[in-house]
Amino acid sequence: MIKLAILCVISAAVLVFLKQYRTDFALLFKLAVLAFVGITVFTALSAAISETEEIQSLFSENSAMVKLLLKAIGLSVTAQIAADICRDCGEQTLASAVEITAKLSVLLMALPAAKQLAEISLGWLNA
Amino acid sequence: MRRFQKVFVFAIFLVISICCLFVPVSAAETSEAEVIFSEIYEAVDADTKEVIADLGLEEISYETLLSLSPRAVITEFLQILTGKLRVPLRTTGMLLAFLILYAVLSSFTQQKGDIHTAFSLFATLWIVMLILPVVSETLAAAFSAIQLCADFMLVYIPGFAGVIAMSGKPLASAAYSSVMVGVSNLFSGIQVYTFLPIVQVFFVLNILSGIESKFSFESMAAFFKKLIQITLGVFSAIFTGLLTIKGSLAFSGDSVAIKGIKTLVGSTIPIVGSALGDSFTSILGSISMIKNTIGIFGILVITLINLPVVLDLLLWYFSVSFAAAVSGMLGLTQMKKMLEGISATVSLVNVFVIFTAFLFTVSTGIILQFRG
Repeated sequence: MIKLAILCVISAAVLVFLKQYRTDFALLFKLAVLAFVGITVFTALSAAISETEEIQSLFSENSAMVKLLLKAIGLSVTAQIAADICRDCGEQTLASAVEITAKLSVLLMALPAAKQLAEISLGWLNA
Repeated sequence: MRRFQKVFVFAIFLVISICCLFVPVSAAETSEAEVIFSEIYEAVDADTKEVIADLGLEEISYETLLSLSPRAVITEFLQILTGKLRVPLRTTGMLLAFLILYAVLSSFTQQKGDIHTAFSLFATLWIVMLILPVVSETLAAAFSAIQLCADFMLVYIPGFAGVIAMSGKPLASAAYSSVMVGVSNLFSGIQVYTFLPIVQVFFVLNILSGIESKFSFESMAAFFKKLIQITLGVFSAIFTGLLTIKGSLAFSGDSVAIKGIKTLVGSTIPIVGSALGDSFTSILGSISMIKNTIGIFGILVITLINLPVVLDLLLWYFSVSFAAAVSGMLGLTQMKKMLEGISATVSLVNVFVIFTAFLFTVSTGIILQFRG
């Protein structure tokens, strides 16, 4: 964790210099650092995957909901990073598009729950 | 002189015969009471009959009710409580686990971003669906219990009124049945056309205020709750006051009539007049014992119909309130609002169920406490 933090700080300092001379290289350098950080995090997390499977088994019949929650958070975090990168590159429109797509995907995953809620509410109102 | 003696004996015989018409025939009325017993027992629903059988009250009689032991009552109460405890505890445990998972996961997203809002809504919807279907079933069971009470009272009120009349209190019987039938009809109307729609709207508004944080229906929900509590309070005060006044006056009138008959029998019939008066009193006393038995049985049935539902609603109220408190602790304000709304609805329905049981129990108790 400390090594990653030091790497990100040093990369930020290098990017400040690169932006002054070659902005296209700055973007590529940024993406490379992000990819390296992502791979390191996933490698570290692979040890924790067996723990999350144990957590899932604790939830028994609701393990599908745990998977859905983890999927939604993965989607949200990925979209957030992508949107931030687009903003850093000055592409607000692309950033908004990424965010809207992510929001729609998350809300689509919530659709079955919303449908069940609407059924219960309408059932109550029509009772 | 001999002719005068014959006329005198014939006159005494005639007076005794006329007075005997006032003495109720206890054997016929005892069998009529048994018919009323069986009708009232048949009006009880199957689940409550099982509980009554577990308490050792397979038949309605003075001896079986008197032999009801506190141990049997406490054992049955604990059995009902442990039976109802499992589902709320298990569901709340699962809910708390998901709340903690949600709080941990949401910390990965930016708190003020649109994506965080979408993720919050997603998690709120899914987590609430853990608890909402089960709570809805409990609320539906509560309304069924109110309907079961009403159906039981439809059979019980005429039967009990009949026994009150048989015990030499026709005015009290008329007062009881007129007030109870009127109140039952009024109460059914209020429940179907006023209370149920308010609870439905209250429930849905609370859920919506949890989903859409822009809208806040908390004040409206609090207003509805206050309105219902005040209405029920006023209604119960009017009802108990009316029944007490009418019952008191009716019982006084009946007492005067009974004493008048006793005095008439005692003073007009020579030698055996006072003995006849005393036997009249003892017959009325035995029928009064039947009246008390039926009255206590009615109170017991109403209590047993409502007790499981009240316990269930109380357990859900505490479980959901606890989950709402934990949501507040974890900073999940949307979830907290929704869970507080659900617990408020549960509490409101519980108040109504307890009020229904109170209404019918107190009315019977008021009549039982008057002595002729």
